[in-house]
Amino acid sequence: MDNSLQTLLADPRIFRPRRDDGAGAGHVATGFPALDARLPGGGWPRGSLSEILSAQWGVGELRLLLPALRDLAGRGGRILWLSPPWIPYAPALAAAGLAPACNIVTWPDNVEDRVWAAEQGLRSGSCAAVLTWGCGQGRHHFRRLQLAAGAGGIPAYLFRESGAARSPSPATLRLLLAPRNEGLEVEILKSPGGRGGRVLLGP
Amino acid sequence: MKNHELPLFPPAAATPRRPRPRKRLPGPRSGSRPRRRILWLCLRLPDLPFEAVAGTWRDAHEPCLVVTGEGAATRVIGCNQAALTAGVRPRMRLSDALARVHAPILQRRNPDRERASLENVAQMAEGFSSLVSLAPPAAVLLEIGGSLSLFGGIAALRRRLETQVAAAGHLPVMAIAPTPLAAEWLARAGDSRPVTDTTLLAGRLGELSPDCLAPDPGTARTLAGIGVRRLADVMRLPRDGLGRRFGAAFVRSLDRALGRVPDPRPGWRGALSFEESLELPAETGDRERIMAGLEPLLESAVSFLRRHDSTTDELRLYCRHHGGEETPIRLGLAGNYRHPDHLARLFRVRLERVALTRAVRALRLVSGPLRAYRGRSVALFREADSGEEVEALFESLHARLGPDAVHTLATCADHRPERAWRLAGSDVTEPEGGRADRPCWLLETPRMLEEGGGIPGDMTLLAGPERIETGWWEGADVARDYYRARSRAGRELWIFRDRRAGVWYLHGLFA
Repeated sequence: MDNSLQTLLADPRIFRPRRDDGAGAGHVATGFPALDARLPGGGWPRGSLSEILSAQWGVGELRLLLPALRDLAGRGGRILWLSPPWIPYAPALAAAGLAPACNIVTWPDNVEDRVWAAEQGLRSGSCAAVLTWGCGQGRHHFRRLQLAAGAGGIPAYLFRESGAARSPSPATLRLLLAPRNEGLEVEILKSPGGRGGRVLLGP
Repeated sequence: MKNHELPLFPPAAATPRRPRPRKRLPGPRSGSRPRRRILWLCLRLPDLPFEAVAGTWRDAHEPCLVVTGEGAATRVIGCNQAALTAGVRPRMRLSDALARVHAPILQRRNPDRERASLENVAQMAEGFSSLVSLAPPAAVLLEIGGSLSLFGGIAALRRRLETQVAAAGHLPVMAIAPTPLAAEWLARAGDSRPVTDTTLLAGRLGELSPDCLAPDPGTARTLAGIGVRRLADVMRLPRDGLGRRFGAAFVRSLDRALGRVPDPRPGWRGALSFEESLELPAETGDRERIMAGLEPLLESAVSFLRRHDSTTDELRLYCRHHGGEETPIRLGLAGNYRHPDHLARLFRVRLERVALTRAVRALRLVSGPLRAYRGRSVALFREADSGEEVEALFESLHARLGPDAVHTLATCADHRPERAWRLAGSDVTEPEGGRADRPCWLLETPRMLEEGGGIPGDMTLLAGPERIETGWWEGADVARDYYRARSRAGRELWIFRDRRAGVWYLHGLFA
């Protein structure tokens, strides 16, 4: 019954005022118009991997993600944080509009468990986004995550050291972050449309 | 029989407003067919203390005694046929009994076992009636009026119930009456002739000895003293005098027995749990084969839970090996889960983490205590998440990563930054106290930056200080000046200077 209902609702003749997105294109606006303009589809891709690379953490990676996370969690999904480098600080998240109770945080001991937990989150149907640090070392890990993200239809973010930029990756989108005095510089290393370039997000 | 209209409750003394229950429960003579006759069967186990602890010795050749009490006051409360033949009687002193039998088997009375036996009988009774009530210490009441046509009459129902109870090692006494208390009294008197009509009740109860009321010793003495030999003698006494002498409760119990006031009984439901085992076709250590064997067990566990409209907090799987040893695998369930596929997935995850050193021959699945199923309505349009899916995710993560490894976040009302947040369980909903001037990343313990007094050399201060000085009343006091600073690498940091030691610490990052 669920399926037939979904089919029915997918009919373009049916008007749904609170439709998630245009034609099921599967993108989530980043909240930064300058960046959205550069990204194919105008935002973070759903159902695939997005890599965020940086030499070190704490440069502004959460500022980059929080607007999108707020939108995603606002529709009732959970955000799964896997092995974040530090504690996501509840008062700051709440101030940014992301309810702390929406976040599920866990620090699995090893890579296998991290990949497994990410898969669970991506496939569960209850998560709106999955954020992973130090998750995935070999190609088979990325492949598994890519498949799970595709099945779940939600964005998956892989935070990796900038050294990984040299090795190939199945991620749909690869961004390299660098802090500047004027703000956060985001370099698009890889995107489906092939448009690279740098975007400076103001402070 | 006119006893019920004798002066026990003359209309003036009785509550005149109350209509006679006879009118509400028409007997066979009232012309119209009775719609629904209420009949109570009292199943009494007079020998329960013996049966509970020494049931297997009943037919033994050795005398067996069940005793209660301490020291010289130890009395025999039950014994088997061999002891009876030797002259032992219940309520006899143990010393007297030992003079009659040589070296009997002695068992101490065990009220817990008696209760368990009684509940076991009540469970059997549930097969005969939808309303079963316990009448401790040794009786079970069941309403059989609604079951008579199903079982083919009183005699047939009694026979079947008696056979079942006897198979469990009990010798029951059964009595049937239109009110539960009358059935209890008749059973205590050992009168098993059924009373099916309220109009006959007063007459039949009148024949009983007042001992059947199980009166306290004082009442029993007074009753004997005023010449009461049978209940009919009591009924003949004036009601107000009876109430003055023996208390209102005494009169009221007569009213209840005669069906003049309602006597509601609490329904009994057994403490249920699921248990089922299954032999594997062949001994195996292969997880897939074990899972294949487990699936039907999960199906039947789930259908059991559905039937009882319940759910449970845990499932335990015991893998039995050659020789009878078992490897237990416990699965905690957070949610309301009643889908076998989901349970199978969780067990698969657990099985992968368990080292089965030996081949498995059989599986046994046991549920924890049941609790009521909290139904959830399903959204017509799938917009918000369903709580069940979140619970399912938590359960899977718990199953593999450990029950204490998965958290949600919550804020706390505390000025100390390290206490303004906490890790929470899966079901927290609290008002959030957000602060925009706090960093998104917090270090679990502040990291010392540099020895010495000045600002760390490679940082520039952007904002501050914010003084936080609190917590002295619980020994975890802080005296800090917090600043927002930028490092040379371009990161914005949240640092503080400990005002006592003058040392700088890093506490967070504005990411």
